[in-house]
Amino acid sequence: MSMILITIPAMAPSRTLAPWRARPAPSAPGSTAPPADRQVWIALLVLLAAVPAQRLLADPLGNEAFQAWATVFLAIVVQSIPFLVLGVLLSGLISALLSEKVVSRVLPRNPLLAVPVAGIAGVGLPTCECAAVPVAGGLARRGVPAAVALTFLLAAPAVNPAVIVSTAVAFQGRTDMVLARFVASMLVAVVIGWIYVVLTRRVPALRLPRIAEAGHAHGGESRWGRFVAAAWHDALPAAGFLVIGAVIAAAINVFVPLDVVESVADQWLLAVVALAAFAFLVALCSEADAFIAVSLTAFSDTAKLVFLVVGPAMDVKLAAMEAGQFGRAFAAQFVPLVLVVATVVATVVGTVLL
Amino acid sequence: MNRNAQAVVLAALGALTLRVSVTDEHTRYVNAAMKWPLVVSGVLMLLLALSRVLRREDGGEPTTPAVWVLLLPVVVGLAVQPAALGAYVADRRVNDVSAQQYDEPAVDPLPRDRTTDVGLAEFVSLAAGYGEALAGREVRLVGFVTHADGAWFVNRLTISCCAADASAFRVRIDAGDVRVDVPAEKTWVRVVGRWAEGTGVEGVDLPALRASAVEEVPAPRQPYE
Repeated sequence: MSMILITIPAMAPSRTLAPWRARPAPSAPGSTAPPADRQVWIALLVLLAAVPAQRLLADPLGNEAFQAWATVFLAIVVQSIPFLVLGVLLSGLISALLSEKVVSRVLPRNPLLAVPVAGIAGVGLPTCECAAVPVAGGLARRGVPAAVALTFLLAAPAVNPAVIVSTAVAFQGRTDMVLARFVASMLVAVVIGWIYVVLTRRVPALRLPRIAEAGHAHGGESRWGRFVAAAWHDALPAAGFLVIGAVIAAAINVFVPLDVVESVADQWLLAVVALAAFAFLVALCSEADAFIAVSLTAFSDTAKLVFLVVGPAMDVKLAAMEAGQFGRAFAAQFVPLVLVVATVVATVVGTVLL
Repeated sequence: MNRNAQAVVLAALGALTLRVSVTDEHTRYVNAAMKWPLVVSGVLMLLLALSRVLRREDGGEPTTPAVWVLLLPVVVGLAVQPAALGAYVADRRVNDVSAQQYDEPAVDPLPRDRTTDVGLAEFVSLAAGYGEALAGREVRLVGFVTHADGAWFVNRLTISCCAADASAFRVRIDAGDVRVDVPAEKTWVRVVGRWAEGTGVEGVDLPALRASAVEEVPAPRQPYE
């Protein structure tokens, strides 16, 4: 079972350390000791220690609740990996192929018009939200205005065909719910984009996403070089923050039973806030959340809509990934802003359409 | 974290992804259809890690310490190797899902002349919809056993994307015309029987099956429906 993994630590030192030993100087700027060496060995030791840990800690690790947490935690990570890889590939392709010239030709010059265009472009990326973060980062690096990239980031996971179909299936073809979800999610994305367009100049305290130029220093000039550099740059921080989000989401998922949430279902305002918070904390895939929403039978349709609109726009793993990709100062404003706008817009749309 | 260590972490994560998909362990966590996307992702991550070794001109680029956290899923995958979700989650979410979710308006009635394999989720929803398609038919259910209040139950979880969105379905097994031994908790069984008419309608109580045969079976390759 663990054959593959055991060979990795065995092979990795010779592969990764040999080039370092050959050229010790440039890999550790500003430090004297070989910290590069040490970090590699720490990582390998942690991996090697995990194997005997299974035998030594069999009893505490066998605890049912912990096992359930571990399963859900790995499930969220394993489910996200292909989408994250796809997102990083797309982001790399954007970095390698899309030029600023093309962007300026395709997008309307006026950012107020470009925002809804980005929202509609989101229909074309049929994936979960994990892919959208690196893609939005890639777009911003290629000269797409930050506010426009943010609209794409918010719209893509919520309005694409895969989500529309799964919502229709879960809600038994209730077209009003499908329509309300599409309208509300699109509105949230566009409203947030416009907020950033309008306020960027007037409110200096508003932070824009930090767009790091991948491959600037050493990616080389070739397209392939830019592609690999962008992939390196996007993949690991995004994945690291994703794992942090998954730790929290899995704990909420396993240890907070639905009945606790349902106990407030008959109080209108509390119900809306509770489902918005629940959507943020459980961090479900946008293609699966409709099936959970439909099971929240105690709640009004409007509260269910809030759950469906908030989840793809913002949840704990997205917040962590965005902090990693766009900077913590940006995320500290963006995350609460999206939560509030999504909750309010979904409540209004739900009251009108449902 | 420096780039050499990043390469090690990425290689480990890629190897974990490859392992769970190649061994079909991924069916504990995600939809079985994710197998090939996972294989491809694992290979790509290993290649990306390898590119670090081949492209030696890269300088050390310090990144966020959050990258260290990527060791956690690999360590959990190695040290815990968690099983598929089972009784713990089933006890908490039993038949939570409203019957209408699976209650197709036009269900073909099950054949009367032979035994039909029916999923737990389908059985629960057919019973909830007044059981017209179910009454009088012999069905076969596969699931794991739980005990409570002197009765025993067959359970199955369903997922749509991953184990985070699992729902639990449970059917009480009553003795039918033949006496059956009560299986131990958590064993997987195949039960043949008929719906106890009137049980589980509109989800007010658990649907029940009057069993005529129970046999233990190995855990299925796909633990979720």
